[in-house]
Amino acid sequence: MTTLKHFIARACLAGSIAALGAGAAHAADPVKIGYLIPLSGSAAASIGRDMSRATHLAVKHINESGGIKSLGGAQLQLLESDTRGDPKVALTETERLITREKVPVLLGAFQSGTTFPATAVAEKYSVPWVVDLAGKGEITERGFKYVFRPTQVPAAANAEGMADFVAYASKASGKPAKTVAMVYENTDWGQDMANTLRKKFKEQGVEIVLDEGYPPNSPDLRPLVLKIKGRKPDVVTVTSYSADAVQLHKLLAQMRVDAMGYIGSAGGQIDTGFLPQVGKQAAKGVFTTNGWAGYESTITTPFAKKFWDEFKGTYKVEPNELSVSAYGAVWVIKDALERAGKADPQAIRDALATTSIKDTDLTKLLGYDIVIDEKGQNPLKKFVVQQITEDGQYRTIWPENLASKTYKMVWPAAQY
Amino acid sequence: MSTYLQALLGGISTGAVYGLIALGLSLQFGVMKIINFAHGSFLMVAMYVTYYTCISLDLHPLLAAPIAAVALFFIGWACQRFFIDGIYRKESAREPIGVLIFTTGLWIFLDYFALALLGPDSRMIDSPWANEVVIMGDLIFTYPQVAGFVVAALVTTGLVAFMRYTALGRAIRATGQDREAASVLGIDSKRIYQLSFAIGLGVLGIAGALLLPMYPVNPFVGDIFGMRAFVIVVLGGIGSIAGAFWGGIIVGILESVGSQLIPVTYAEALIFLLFLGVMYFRPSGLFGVEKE
Repeated sequence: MTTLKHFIARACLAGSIAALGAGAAHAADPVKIGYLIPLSGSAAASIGRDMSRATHLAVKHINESGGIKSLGGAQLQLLESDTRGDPKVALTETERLITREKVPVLLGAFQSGTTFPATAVAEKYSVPWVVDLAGKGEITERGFKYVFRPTQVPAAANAEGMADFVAYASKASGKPAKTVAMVYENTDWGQDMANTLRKKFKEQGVEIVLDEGYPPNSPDLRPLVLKIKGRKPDVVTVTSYSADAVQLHKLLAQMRVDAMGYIGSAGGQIDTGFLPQVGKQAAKGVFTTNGWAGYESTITTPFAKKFWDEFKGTYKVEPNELSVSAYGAVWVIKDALERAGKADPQAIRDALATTSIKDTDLTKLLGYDIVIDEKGQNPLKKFVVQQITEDGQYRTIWPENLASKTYKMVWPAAQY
Repeated sequence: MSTYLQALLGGISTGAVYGLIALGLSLQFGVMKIINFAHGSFLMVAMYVTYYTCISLDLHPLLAAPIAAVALFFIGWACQRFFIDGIYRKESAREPIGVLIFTTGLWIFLDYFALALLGPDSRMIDSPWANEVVIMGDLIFTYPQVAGFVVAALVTTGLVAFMRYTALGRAIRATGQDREAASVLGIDSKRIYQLSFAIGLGVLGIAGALLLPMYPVNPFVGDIFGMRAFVIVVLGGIGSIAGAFWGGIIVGILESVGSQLIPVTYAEALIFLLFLGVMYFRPSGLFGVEKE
């Protein structure tokens, strides 16, 4: 009998130790990240899906490598929510994630149209928001304390890259571009880009012969391309996403607009679906800015290689700026959580505000350092310009220090 | 000058395809008095059918058109036979509001089903044919543009002739005008409904095949063209087949020539301004027949 009693006593003891252990595990509760991204509802859904994949991959990699060490190895848990590209949905989902799910940090939402209003909700509730890719300048210009943009610079920098490149190409080739036609989707992003382009081209003395916004997802862009052709521009800038970019670049080729250069703004032109749909013939020679310098320049570390290989292996497409930025943004949150030491909105916010990531595996993958300024913006990201080669490769040609060693810029681009 | 001529002709060819898209919608409304909100989604289905037919059989996009037409014909027939008919019959005494709600549900279901099944990517056929052009002086037309106009015009003419000169066509029209009287004359309205819904979608199948070389397909492509189809149907006169065709051409020209004169965004608004104007001054549409 005594042995049995003894046994029961020991069993009870073991039980309570186990309970204690469970208590310790309880301290390492997963850290919830509220994630907003468009996964349906519009043509932007294909980009949303690519970014979502990279975000999930980053969470997986962080969790596999031991989670958040300062939080006892806490795992990250992504609460993903589809915005459908609709600002109203983004607003209510943000509210839900904060008040119902009690997430201590938010991430997203790719598009400026949804990110701009939704970040205001996060600010109201004092929950930090890490902007992954939305480029609208005002997002970090409202004096907000809880909004951070580590992996994207305002659209202005993208547009400045386009205009500076035109000046560079004009000079380097000795064949200057004198006139430009600007076409852009009539959205926050498109108009933001156009405002900067307009200013820069005026400064450079390039005459703007067409300055035209168009409604996104138009059934027929032929009339717009005809209008471009009528103005006989030397350069055409194209600020468009997915289906519109495909249509425009196809039509620019088919209708023989014959400009010296077509310059995209890191939108539809760097979407993974762009080349297969436009075809190599029409895509050949197209220029585009890119927030990421590509495989040659950045996949140099085991960290970067792991991301590249797994992304490509799983999804059968190569990572691009969009997926790299999404991947990077999660690592920035991880960095902040490590320094915050607790999964509390205020602590995470304070840690994010003092982010300074320099010369690490992450910055080598991204191609720029991350230092958050007093507005919540990382001003160090720069855009490069790439050209699509005859066999459908993106080659960086500007700035010269990041340019491909093996490819020489073709300017003016070949005529069709 | 050549810019405007190009805009005019380009507008006509695009408009003809718009008209063809609207044709089926107009037919269904004319005969059954139901508004099919899933029309855009059926266009999306037609484009996917064309896409996968072309890819898997390595077929020319134009040769895929009959296949898409047949596929959509049967989808339309089955849809009417198994879903809409039951709802429609229950509501025979009043306005068929239930059908309207059903097709709205179908629209959302089809879009999201396509999203789940095929993913959000835009897809397009990269056939060399789609990039070929006809150059006449300053004017440039792509092969898909020319084919779009020619086929749309032929199909419309064929359908108008069918409705006018065949017994079946007359039966369809009779049912549209007065169902009770038609059934007294021995016309099986159930069969006529199935047939007209199926023909409407069959025509849409051809439209989808014509559109695909010009516009990439994604699960939400129907929303873009569906809205336009409604405008065209009302503009041309509800129930009028030729009216839908002309309505499409008017919208095409307005969009194309208008864009040369005013900003493209306003040209889009111009179409809806015309729409509102027609609704107000001529509710039966530009080519519709005033009733009673």
